[in-house]
Amino acid sequence: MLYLPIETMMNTLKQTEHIIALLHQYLAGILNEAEQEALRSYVKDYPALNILLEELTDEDVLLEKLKDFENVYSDGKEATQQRMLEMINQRLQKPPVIKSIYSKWWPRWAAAAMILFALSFWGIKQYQHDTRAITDKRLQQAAKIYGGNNQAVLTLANGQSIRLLPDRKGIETQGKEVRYQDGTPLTSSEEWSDHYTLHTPIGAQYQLTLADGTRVWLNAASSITYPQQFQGKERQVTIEGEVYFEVAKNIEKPFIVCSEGQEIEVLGTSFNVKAYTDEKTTRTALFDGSVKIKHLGTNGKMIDALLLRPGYEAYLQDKKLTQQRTDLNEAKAWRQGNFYFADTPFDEMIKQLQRWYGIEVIYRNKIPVDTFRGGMSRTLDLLTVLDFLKGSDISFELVDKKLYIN
Amino acid sequence: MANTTNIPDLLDRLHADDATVLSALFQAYNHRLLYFAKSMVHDNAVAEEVVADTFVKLWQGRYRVKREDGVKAFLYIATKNACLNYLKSSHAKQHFDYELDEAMLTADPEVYIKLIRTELMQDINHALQQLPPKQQEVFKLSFLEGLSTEEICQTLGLSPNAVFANRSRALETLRKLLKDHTFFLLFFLWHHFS
Repeated sequence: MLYLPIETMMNTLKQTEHIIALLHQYLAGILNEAEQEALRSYVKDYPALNILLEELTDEDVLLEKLKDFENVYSDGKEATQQRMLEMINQRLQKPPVIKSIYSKWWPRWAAAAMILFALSFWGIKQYQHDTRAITDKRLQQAAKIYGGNNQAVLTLANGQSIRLLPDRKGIETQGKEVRYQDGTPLTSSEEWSDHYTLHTPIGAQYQLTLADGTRVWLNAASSITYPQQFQGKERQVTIEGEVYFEVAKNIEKPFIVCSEGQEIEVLGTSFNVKAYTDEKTTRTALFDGSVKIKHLGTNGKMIDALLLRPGYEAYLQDKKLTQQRTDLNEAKAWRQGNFYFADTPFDEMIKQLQRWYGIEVIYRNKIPVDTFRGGMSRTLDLLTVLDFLKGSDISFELVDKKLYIN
Repeated sequence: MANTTNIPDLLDRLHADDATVLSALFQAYNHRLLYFAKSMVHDNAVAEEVVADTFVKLWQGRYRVKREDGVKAFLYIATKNACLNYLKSSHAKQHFDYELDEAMLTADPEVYIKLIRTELMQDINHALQQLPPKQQEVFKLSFLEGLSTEEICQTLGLSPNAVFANRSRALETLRKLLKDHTFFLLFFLWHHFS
């Protein structure tokens, strides 16, 4: 191994470029005296350059090398690059930051996105009608799968669980009692607990009003742990999954939302937190007012903090906290009974479907790197939703609540 | 020249943890790095693995890169070291990625020649890619695949006249593209056709 002093190493790449330029000129037969001398001295330093020179002057060999270069991708350019990107993304342990580089995919997906957009929400019924004939065959084969059938569960401090009625929409804390929002009692005062955990399973969402009047919406597969009464200087709750808050104003007593690695501190405002443990990013979208987001280390100490502005969303990912302007429709859609995708990566989109329809997802190949834009109703059955998402590059197959993606 | 890849604000974006720059770097370098790695390890799967790892290493070591041309050096050095480690039966010493000195590239003359060859091929290939798609196809089929005019007609569904036209247009465009730097390609094309 050859080691050189640092100063002489600085320009190795410049030297490489110089050699290449000389080689070009050599082959074109236009080297002048000084350049010939320079090339000779390089050959003296690197005798192996002679091999290269021979190679380059023999046309057939050169074409052969060019062919090797051209055919370097073992499974074709697209598939091989895709596989490498997959490896990179996997090793970086984050959602795909690298988008597909095959431009020809984009027009297709742009078209798909436009269709999605055009048919969103109110347009959906028409579409359903039009495509019924096409999807009928498959609908007969597979029973329709709907989301939204499951029951939320309330767990008391003693571990006792109460299944909540799905048709009541929500519960509230009234004094020491918990009751449905329509006034039907749920626990009597003998059963009171000093704290509760409300949990929604896959395919369910539920509402809750806390003792201070703060209103809480839980999306599917989410939970909130909260006290019967807020004592002390703060109002603190702990969440997992996706939760929307309308915090009752109380300047004296800040409201604190804890999730993994993050704490949100507010006085009174509304915001949406998405903190699923199976997703790499914790997202907090602010509708009005201002909130303080703190990133906490494993020891509970604050590492970083930022003040979030309305219309912005905070991202906690890979221990980094950032904020950027966002499309609030995305954070709002689920409470209105819709899916809404704003350049949502494929796997994130699929996770939303999993949480709503309770399906198992099996990737036959790699996870596609496409993103989706548009929205549709969550009351639709799964196959109808999938019909929207089908593209020329992705096909779905549904067998017994197992979704295979090709 | 083709090997000076122009990615705007490359260093700033790297240092600001802007992961999109990794995508741009992948596009700019994956082809030549794969060729370079393959020329060392002679194994598709290993080479792909090594190159994917190289980009991960660059991302993880992005703060250590202080100069814009250091990015290219980093990519080559990391690829080279990983390949040498893979082949370490013939090289007793383990090569570590913190030895990010550019001299690492010239230290082993045999490897250095592979690097120069890679950059040359990258140059030519880049020039080819500037051609319109039809001309590119005709060029590839006739020179790289060695197909006859008749075979090209069948493959591309073109008339013989169209194949000739595309081939001569390819040459003309290449000449224009290469006029400024890659003289030798011009030379060899002339030679091949005369």
